[in-house]
Amino acid sequence: MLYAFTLGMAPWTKESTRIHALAYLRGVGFHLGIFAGLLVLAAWPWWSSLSPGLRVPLAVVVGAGAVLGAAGSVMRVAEHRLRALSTIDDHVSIWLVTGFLVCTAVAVWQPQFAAAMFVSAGMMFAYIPLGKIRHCLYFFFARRSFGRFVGHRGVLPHGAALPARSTR
Amino acid sequence: MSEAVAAALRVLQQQLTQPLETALEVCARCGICADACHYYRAEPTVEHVPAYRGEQLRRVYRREHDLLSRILPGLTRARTLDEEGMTELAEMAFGTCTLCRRCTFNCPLGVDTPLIMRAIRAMATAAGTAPEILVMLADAAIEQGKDPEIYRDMFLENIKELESELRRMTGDPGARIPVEAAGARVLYVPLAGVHSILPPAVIFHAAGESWTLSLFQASNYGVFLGDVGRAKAIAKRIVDEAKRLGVQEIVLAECGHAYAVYRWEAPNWFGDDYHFRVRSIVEVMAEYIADGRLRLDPTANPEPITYHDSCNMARSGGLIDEPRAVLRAAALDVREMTPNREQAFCCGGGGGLVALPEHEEKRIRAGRPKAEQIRRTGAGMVVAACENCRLQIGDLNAHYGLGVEVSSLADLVVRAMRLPAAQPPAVADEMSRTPAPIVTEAELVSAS
Repeated sequence: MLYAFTLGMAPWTKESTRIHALAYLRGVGFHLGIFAGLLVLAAWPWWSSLSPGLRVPLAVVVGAGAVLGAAGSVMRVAEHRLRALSTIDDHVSIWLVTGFLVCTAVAVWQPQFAAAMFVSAGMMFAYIPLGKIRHCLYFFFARRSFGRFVGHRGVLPHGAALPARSTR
Repeated sequence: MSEAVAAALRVLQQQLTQPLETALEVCARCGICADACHYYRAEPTVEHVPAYRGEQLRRVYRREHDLLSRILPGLTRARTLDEEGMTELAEMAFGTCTLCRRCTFNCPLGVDTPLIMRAIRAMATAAGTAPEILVMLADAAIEQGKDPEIYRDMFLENIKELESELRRMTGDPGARIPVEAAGARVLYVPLAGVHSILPPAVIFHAAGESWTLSLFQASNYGVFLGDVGRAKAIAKRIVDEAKRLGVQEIVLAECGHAYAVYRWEAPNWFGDDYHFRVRSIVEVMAEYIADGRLRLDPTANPEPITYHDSCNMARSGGLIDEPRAVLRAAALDVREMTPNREQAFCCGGGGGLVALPEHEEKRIRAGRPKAEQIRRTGAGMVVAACENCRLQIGDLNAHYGLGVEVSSLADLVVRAMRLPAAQPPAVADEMSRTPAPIVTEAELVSAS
């Protein structure tokens, strides 16, 4: 299971991420931006006391995440295969998260915009149980299931010994 | 709502455990899974993107279970299931997905799309839209388990004939193919046909194994239907037989789905009743070779050979190193396809597709990536440890003009044993292609 949450997610272990490196990196950047944004949100009461050495990189990651989020929505419109796969919910979800990242990046730059950050965060959190954003919760169950499957059956990681007896 | 649709929705509700709910909820629809699918590689259309396939059931699931989708179905493309929709779902799940799991392994989130396809298959079976032949084969196997007396005598008579062939091949007049022998250590469960009995019999004889042949066959069509009830009833025949004979171990013929079922799924169905070890003949051969109980001469197989990883055995079964150990001992020139092991491409014959003539054309088209892989190795022989894979690769061989011989591992091992009285390879090959004298489920169906 540890493998499923660590090396099993590394791009070099998957043919798909090697083929679609750009899309994969965009996704990684977007999600790093989200984690950084949530960190800023959580640290806001102490924000002014944080050292600029920490604040500036966080702001950069959040801002880059916003750009990559917007790029994701554009890709969903521009690429025919993604267009066919996408629903309105996908676009609403991406823009809610991207909006939060934009507001957070601006608030980091100009703290008087903190209210916009809180409002956008509220909207994003409110949408989690309703729409596609809730995949962030199911992610952990999916990786756990994958890890249990490949680990128990001795498929991955390579060289893992199969259980000697066939038991549950 | 029609009764068929209601039945399908009831099955969906029953199947909606945490893993299926997760598979339905977690997909981000990034489409990165597309190239993982052999159908998409062969024909890059959106219908062949695994996420798109999964989406077809998600739309129904959302309509039934998602608050936002009930209020605003257009927001998530939620769809009310009707009979036409059920037929489309069945066509997709049985005709354009072999449940190979390559998409799951290549998904950044690990979305289990095959689990979704299995749920659709189960729904289609309940709704009466599953392929009839799979239902017939599954039901025939269940009937066979209820009353094996119907064919026991014919089976024993056929085995007697095989026994004389075994004696001739091994040069041992005492060589036997024991059937239903109580107290044997191993219960060997074959497939339909001589080719899955005679080579293992030669191998067991050479290794001095205490074994007995099962009356039943390893194949389980209930699994292809996604119908756990039928799958369990079919498996129960073998479980009961193993218990009755008091064996310590069940050894399965070279069959991918049987391995996944009996090794990994059946223990969950039978609980403490399932107390024996289950292995594939592939693992047993690897053990015999490692222990020195089987001496092989790899020069008997000098031609370039490549190995096809059955999805059920490798990706879903973890049986990856053992067949390679057997190959290294039995052949001189073994060449890997790229990609291989848990990243190997499905041949296109999995999920019961080789048994469905209505999907033959699609199956052959979807096998193109595998055909290209085989061709690139320059091998003259493809070895596969799964009957359905061998049938499909045989069809690919004919269709794409690969010019290869298709063999099981056991056949290769028997050749490498250089038996003093064995048939010359050409005759042995002919023998392995001879229609099986063993009665099959299909024959039982037609007889009834």
